[in-house]
Amino acid sequence: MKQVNDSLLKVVDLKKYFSIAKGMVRREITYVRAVDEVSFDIDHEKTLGLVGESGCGKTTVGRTIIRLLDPTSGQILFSDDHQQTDIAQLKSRQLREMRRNMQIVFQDPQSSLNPRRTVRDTIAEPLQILEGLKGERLEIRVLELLEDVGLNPEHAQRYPHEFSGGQRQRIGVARAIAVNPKLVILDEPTSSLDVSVQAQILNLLLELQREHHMSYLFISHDLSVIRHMCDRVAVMYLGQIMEAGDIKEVFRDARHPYTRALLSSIPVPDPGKKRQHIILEGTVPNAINPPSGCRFHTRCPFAKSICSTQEPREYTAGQGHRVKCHFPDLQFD
Amino acid sequence: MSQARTSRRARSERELEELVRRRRENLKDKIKFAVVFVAILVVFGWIYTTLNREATLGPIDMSLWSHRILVVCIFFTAFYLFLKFAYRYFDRIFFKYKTNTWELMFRRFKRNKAAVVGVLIIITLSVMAVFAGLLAPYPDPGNPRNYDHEYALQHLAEPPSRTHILGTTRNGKDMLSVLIHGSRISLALGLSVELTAAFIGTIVGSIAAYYGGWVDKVINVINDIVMAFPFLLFIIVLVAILRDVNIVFAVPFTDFVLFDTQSLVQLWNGLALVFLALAVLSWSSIYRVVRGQILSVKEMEFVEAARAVGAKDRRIIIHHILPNIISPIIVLVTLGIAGVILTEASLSYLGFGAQEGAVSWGRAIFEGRQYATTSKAFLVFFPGLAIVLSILGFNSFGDGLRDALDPRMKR
Amino acid sequence: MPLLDIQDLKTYFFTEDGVVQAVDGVSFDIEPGQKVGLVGESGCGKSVTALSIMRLVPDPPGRIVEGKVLFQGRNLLDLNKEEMRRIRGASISMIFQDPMTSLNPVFTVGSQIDEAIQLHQGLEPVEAREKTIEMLNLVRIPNPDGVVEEYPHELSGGMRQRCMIAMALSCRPKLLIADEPTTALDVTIEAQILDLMDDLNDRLNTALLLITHDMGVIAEMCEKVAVMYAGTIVEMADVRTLFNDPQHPYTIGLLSSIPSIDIGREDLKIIPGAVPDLINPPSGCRFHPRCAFAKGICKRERPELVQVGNGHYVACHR
Repeated sequence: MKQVNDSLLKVVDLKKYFSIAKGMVRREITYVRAVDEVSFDIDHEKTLGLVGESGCGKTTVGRTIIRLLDPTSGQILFSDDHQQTDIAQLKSRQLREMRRNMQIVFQDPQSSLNPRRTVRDTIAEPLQILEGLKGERLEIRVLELLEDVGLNPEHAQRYPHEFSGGQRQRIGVARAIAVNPKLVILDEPTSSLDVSVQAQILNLLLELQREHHMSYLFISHDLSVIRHMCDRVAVMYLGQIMEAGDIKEVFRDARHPYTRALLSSIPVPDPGKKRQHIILEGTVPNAINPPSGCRFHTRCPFAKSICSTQEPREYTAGQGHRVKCHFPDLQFD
Repeated sequence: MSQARTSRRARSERELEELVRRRRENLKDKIKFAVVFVAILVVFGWIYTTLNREATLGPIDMSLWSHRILVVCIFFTAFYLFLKFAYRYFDRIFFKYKTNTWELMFRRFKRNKAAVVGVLIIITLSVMAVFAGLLAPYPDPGNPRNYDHEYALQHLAEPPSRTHILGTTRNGKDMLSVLIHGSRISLALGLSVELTAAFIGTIVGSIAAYYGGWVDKVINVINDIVMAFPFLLFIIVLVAILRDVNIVFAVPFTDFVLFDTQSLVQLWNGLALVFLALAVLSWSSIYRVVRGQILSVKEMEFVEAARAVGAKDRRIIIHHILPNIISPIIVLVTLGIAGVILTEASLSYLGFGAQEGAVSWGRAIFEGRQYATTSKAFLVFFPGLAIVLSILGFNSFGDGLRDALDPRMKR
Repeated sequence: MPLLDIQDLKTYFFTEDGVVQAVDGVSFDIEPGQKVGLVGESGCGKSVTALSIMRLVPDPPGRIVEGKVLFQGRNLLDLNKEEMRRIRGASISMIFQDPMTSLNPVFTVGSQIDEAIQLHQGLEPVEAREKTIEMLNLVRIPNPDGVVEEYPHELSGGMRQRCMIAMALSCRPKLLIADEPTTALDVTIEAQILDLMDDLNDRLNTALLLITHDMGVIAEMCEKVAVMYAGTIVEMADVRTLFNDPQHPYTIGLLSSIPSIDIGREDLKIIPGAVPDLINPPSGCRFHPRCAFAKGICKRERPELVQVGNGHYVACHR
C-alpha cells in the first residue's frame, strides 16, 4: 500500500518575517520579508538543493526548519513512522526530542566550533543531551564518529584551531550525524573551503548519506555543487521559490528567466564554450519593500506589464516541475 | 571505501578501548594532583594563621637573619619543585594544549620584560604576606600585645639604622615590619574586593547580556548610577555618618542585637568598611566588559550550533560563553587589584580608611603625613615606595597578561 | 618587450614561528594588453605575488628577498619609495577582493576617486570631479552624479566593486592587478563585473593580471594562465592548452575535482592530503607528498619550469 505521505519533510507556505522598529518617537514596525510563502518537499534519503544568491532567504529557510528561528507562519511537517508532526508548533521538550531527527552543518567551520572545547567535547554534546549517553559508551561513540568522517581517534583531545578548514568541517559533520538524524541541513558546507578540500567533503557527505539513509537539504549559491549533490532543486529569489523540480530537468530546461540567468552566469572551466550570458541589470532589491507583482520583474529581461502588477501563480511545467512566472512557456534564445 | 572503514573499525576497537582506559587513568592522576594541591593550601593556611601571631618557632630562631634566609630558601625550593612536578602532571592530566599554545603564551609573556618584573614583584608580595611573621624582624605591629611601650618611647620616628633597617614609625614601631605586615592587608583586600566584584559583575553581566530586553536596560541604568558614584566621596560620607550615628539591627521585641553599624566601622580597624564599599562599587567595569563580550560571543555560530543540538540556556552560558570570555576578566581583575591598593591608600591617607591600630601602608602614610617635607620624610617615603612598587607590579603583570592572551598581537 | 617581467621572485615572511616561504622562485611575464591569470588555492602565494609586484608586502614580517620585477624594463625593486608611489595607481593599479574594506567608509566614493586622480594627474578638484563622473560612466554605474555623493556602505557589493575599478583605472594604468575581484560577489553580479572588465580591457588596452581560485573565471577571462602551488608555479600555458592538455599532476587533479554542471552524483576525484606548511615545505618538488606519480627524484630535487610545448611550461620530473 502506498504511504499517504511519501515525503520526509513537507514545508507548506512557510513565512519568516523579521520585524525592525524604525524611528524613536513613533516606533513604526517594518518587516523584512526574508521568507515569503515557501513550500517544498524532501523525500526519504533524497537531497533537495536550495539555490539562490545572497539575500534570497535560503539560509533563513534552513534555520527556520530546524527551529533555530521561529517561523512567522506556515507548517513544517515531518513524517516519521506514519506519524506526522508540525515542527512549527512544537514547544521546548518536544522540540528537543525532535532535534534527534534533524541536524545542521554550518557554513563556516571556524566559527561553528567552540574554540575552547576539545573535539571530543563538541561531538559528545549532542550525544549527551539528546541521547543521554555517558561514560565509556559515550567515549567509544565519539571515537567511532571521528573515524566515520575520516579523522583519527587521537584528534579527539585537540582543539579546533589545530586543524585545517577541511578537517574542522569534518568535525562539524560528525557533530551533525552523531544522533543519526533523518534530515540534515547543509548550509553552504563547502563555500569557505578550497576546491580540492571541497571535493573531499562532498564525497564524504554522499557516502554518509548512503550509509545512514539520511535526507539532505543542501543550501548553496554554487550551481555546479548543487548539480553534483542534489536530486531535486528549488531556486529562490527574494524570499520566494521561483522554480523547483528534478535537477536534471531544471538544468536542462529551465523555465524561469532567473534560473536561466543563473545558469548562464556561471563561469565554466572550459575555454572552448563561450556561454551566452544573460546579463541581469541592477541589483537585488530590498526585502523590506519587495517589488510589486512578480518580485523578479525589475531585473527580468523579458518582463511585460502584467509582471509588475500581478504576482504570478505556480505553473506546472512537467512532472514535479513548478515555475512561478506569468510566461512559463517562454522560449529563450 | 566504506568496506575499508568497517574493517578498520573492527581492528581499532581495541585501540578505542585503550584510549578510554587511558583517560580513566588520567582521572586518577587528576585526583592525586588535587589532593596534593589541597594539602599545600592547608599548610599555607596554617602557616598564615598561626605563625603570624607568634614570632618565634621552636628550634629555628627567628631573631637570627641566617635562620630567616634559610626558611625563605626552603620555601622557594619547595615552590619550584611543586611547579616542576605540577607542570609535568599538568600536561599529562589535563591532556590539553599538547601543542605549544600554553607554551606560546608563556613565551610571549616572558618576552615582555616589564611583565616578568611585575610577576616577580607579585611573588615577593605574596611571600611577604604569607610569611610576614617569619620575615619581619620584629613581631607583628598590629598585635597590641607586641607593643613594648618603653622600647617604643625611646625609639620614636628614628631614621634608618642598623637595628631598624628602614627606621621606626611615629609610634615607635619598626618600619620594615610595618611594611611587611602591611602587605597582608593590601593583598587580602585587593584579592577579596576584586574577586567579589568579578563575581557580581560576571553574574549580572551574563544575565543582562544573555536575556537582553528590559532586564538589560534596567541593569544598565543601575550600572550607570554605580559608575557615576564618586568612590572616595561616598566612603568619606559613609564613614563620617557611621562614626557619629549608631544604627542597631535587633530582633524585634528582644534585646538580641544582630548587627550594629558602630562595630562594623571598627571591624578590622575600619578596613571592613573599605572592603564593603569597594566591593559594592567596583563591579561596574567588569560588568561592562562581561556584557560586551557576551553580546559578541552570543551571536557566534557555535552558540547556535549548541542550540541546534538541544542545549539549554544554562548549559550554553556556562559551557560555551563563559570559557570564551574569561581572559579579559582575568586581566581586569589583575589590574583592579592595583586600583584597590591605591584606593585603600588614598582613603587611609585621608583618614577614612584604616583606623588607629590597623597596619596598612596607607595608614602608615597617614601617620607620617605631617613629616612629609621635613627631615623625617622617610616616614612617608618608604610606605609610598611600597605602594608604588606593588601597583607597578600588578599593572605590568596585567598588561603583559593581556598582550600574551590576545591571539591577534603579532609582536 | 614584455610589459611586466618577473624573474625568480622570492618573498619570505619572518615570523616568530619560523620563515614562511610564501613565494619561492616565481617567474612569468605579461605582454602589453594581455590578460594573464594566476590561479591556485588558498595559501599558494598568489596574493603575495601581487603584493610583491606593487611592493605592498607588510615589511615586518615580510620581505622580498630575491628576484627582479621588471616593469617596462625598470626593476621596481630598485626604486625608492617616492618613485614607487608614482607608479602605483598611475602605471600599475590593483583592486582587491572585498571592496567594503578597501574603500574608506568615512569618505564618499566620489571623493576617493577624486583623490586618486588629483594625486597622480595633478588636476584641480573641479576637473578631477569631471573625470570621476566620466570614469563612473565608463564602469556603467547608473546615475553617476548621485553615486559620487554616496558612502561605500550605502552601495551594493557590485556597485562598490565598480567604484574600485573606476578608481583603479582612473589614471589609465598599463597594468591592472585584480586580486579575487569577484569572489565575494553573487554569481549574477560576478557575470556583470567580469563582462565589464573584459570590455574595459579591450577598450583601454590595459593588461590584466587576474588572481583567483576559480577555474571557471580563468577560462572565461584569461589568455594565459599560471598555476601556483605552495609558492611556486607548477604549470603555465595559454588557456586552451591548460584546460585541454594539462601536464602537471596538480593541475590535472584540480581540474577533475571541480564539480561540473553537466554531470552529477558520482564521486569526484580528489587530491589526497592537504596544502603543505610553508615554513617547512616538502623537500624537492613541493607537491610530491600528494602526487600519485611521485618518484624518488621528486623528493630530492625541485623541478624547474621546462617548455613542453608552444608557450607551455611545466615544473615536473615526468
